[in-house]
Amino acid sequence: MKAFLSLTRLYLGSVYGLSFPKGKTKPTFKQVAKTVGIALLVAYMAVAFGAMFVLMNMAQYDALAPLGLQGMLILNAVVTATMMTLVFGFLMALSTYWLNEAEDHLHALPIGPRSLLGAKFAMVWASEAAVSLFVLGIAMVVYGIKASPPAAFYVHGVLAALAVPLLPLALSYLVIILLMRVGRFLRNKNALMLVGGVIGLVMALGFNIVYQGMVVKLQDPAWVLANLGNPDAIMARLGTAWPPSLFAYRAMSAPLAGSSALWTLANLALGLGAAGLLVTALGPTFVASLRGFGERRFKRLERADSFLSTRLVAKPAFRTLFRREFVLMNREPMYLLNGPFVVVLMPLIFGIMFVVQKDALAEEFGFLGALSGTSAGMLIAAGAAAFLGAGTSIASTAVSRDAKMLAGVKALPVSPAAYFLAKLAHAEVFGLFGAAVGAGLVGYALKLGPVDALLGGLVGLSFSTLVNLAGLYLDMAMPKLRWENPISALKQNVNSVAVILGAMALIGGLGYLSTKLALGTLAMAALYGGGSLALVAALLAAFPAWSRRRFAALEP
Amino acid sequence: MIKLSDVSKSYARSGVKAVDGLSLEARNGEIFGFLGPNGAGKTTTIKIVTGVLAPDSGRASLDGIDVASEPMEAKRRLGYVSDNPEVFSKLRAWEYLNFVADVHGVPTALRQERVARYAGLLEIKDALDAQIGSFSHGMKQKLQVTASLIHDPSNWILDEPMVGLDPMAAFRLKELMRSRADEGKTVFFSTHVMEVAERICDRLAIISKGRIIFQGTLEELRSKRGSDGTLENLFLELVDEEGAERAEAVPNGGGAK
Repeated sequence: MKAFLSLTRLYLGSVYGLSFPKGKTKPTFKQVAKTVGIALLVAYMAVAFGAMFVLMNMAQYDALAPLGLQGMLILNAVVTATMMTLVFGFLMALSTYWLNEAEDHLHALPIGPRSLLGAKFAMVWASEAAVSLFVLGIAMVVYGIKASPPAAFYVHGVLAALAVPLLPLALSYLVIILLMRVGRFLRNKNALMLVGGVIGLVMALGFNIVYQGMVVKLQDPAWVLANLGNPDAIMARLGTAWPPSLFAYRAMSAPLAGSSALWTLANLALGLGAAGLLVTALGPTFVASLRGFGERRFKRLERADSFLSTRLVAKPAFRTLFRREFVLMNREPMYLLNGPFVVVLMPLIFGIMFVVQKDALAEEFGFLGALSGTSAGMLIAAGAAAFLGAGTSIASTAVSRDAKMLAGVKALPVSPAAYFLAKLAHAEVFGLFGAAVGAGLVGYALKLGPVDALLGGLVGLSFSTLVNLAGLYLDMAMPKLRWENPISALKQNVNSVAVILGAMALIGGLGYLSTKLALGTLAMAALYGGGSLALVAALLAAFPAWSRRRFAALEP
Repeated sequence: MIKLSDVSKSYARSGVKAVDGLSLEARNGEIFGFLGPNGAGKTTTIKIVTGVLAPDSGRASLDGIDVASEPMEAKRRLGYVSDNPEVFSKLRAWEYLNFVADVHGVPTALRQERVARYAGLLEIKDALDAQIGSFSHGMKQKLQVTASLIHDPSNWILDEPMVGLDPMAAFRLKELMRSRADEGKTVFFSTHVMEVAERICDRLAIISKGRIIFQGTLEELRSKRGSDGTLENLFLELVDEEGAERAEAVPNGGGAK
């Protein structure tokens, strides 16, 4: 038990980047700032997603209450929590199945296979319980305000939220462990990341389609009644067929009844029993599947000399530095999916939004059609181009991602300016692509003329170049050089967050400023494009000296 | 020739003084062994010589060229095998070799000839199409050795180069080190393996807690200690004495509570 608890603590700390208080040591300013920053980010996300769920729950309640069916809201919330924890839990269990090489050392310690699987299960459950609490919590608050249930309702609700992820997670592990035992190709971190990433993207896009559709449909009480209030609707069927949902619903719909405690206990027993059964029965299989997990094989060359004569060919140093940036980012699946792929993903999400909500958008934003030929149309295209061109996080994480290679590079006669410029050039390739996609799509949607769309693209590109250069400056000044998991350099890098949020704020601010300026299209383009390029030129003028200073100061 | 003059370095994060007023000289045509216990400052010193770290004070030079003020010139004369081969794991081995050769400006024919020679000698030639991440520790070490010689540097610096090498590769590496020294080049390497240092070093330096406590030939060390012992015995005595002297010099034994 002690090993299980220690290991759970270790996993929670390393996977979620949590640090637990140690005795009476006073936290440093950096630790406090990090905690506050994370809390703000979580709060922001909670508000953003929370608003969506509040809207859904309120629409449901208002449509169902006149018919006395408001209790269905709880059943629907439990089903939603179950589905979300099934999807997220499966992805989380898959992506954390094998963390890194350091985990192999755990297998040399006297820790039983059941403790190993149990600790990992508990670590994944922690995040899923938070998701479940969030979804069910919002439904409870909405229902609570409108129907004033007794306090026991909330007790049963919280216990249900904790129990709901257990069974989906146990089933997810069952499938994944069996897959790992039979499918050798999956037993590789890259394959896991790719498979998980693709499933995650499909799920995210699917969720987007459902949500965008729901936003419109929830306005229609008849639809709500037919699909969310009807006992024969799919949500209700799922809810009554899936025991944890049914148990939670029974306990929460009559919280003061004597049977409610039994339903909650049954729910907890079912979830914990499933988890216990999984850990007991499959612990040894799980550990066996982890042996040699990161092992990679390679094929030896049969004609090495002729192979090398075609491959070992001299190229200019800058070209080789530039190529290296692409190769190292694109061969790390999580870098690729969270970096350059954003240029493809964001338009896809917006495209789905556009297609699904076409009619509502046309009604609400009908005036946009009149923007063709005005400076506003060009500026919207520029904003989209700038947002996509600057949203890849390539430049703002470029030095951090290179942390493990920095010593090797610094010992070579590499010009600091060339080294950093190669990183900027890499970001700019996707900046150009993003600007073209952003301006092109907006140009098409708003029916802009080719000149306006092109101008918008160029203004967006100059702005995204400025943001990329500023992001690179930031990562050169404060890179995240200490990490174990490569993804930390990108997703846990405050520079990337600062640059994306800063760019969004700046684009918004400039958009507002534009409404106050009575300028024509060309004047606007000259102002924003020229202004951005002037700042880029100033930053580039200081770049060689800054590069030399930072290159020398970086301590890998 | 590698020269360090009064070099000091503290780590900003921990405030620990890793190297303290260190001076040494590795001459052309010699194999210079750099010995010391764990945490003595060997790797920090090597990182300063190779330009990976900047010293707080003092000067490091390669063939008389200051590493801090003329880094590009100095690094062109340097081949470096680091103690951590876990780098560039996403590159294929031939891509890594091309990268190093391009940065050094090595022409196509020369790089092909040198890669064929060193990769062949170390028996990794037929593995050069694989990703470095799939290599064993020893293979990564052999790849680093090959890359470090691709531009035929006048100064060859190796940090714990024998770790992970099989006996044949270790033997060939020692032969390579000797042949380069015989060509008038400088070979500077750190090691914990006293037998290796005893057998192949022309001169050596022993570092303890960031300071050089001996520099010279093995014979000079023996005569200084008045003993005919092995390098291992002499090393242990010297490091023990140094530790005891420092403990006496600091009130309360200098130990942290």
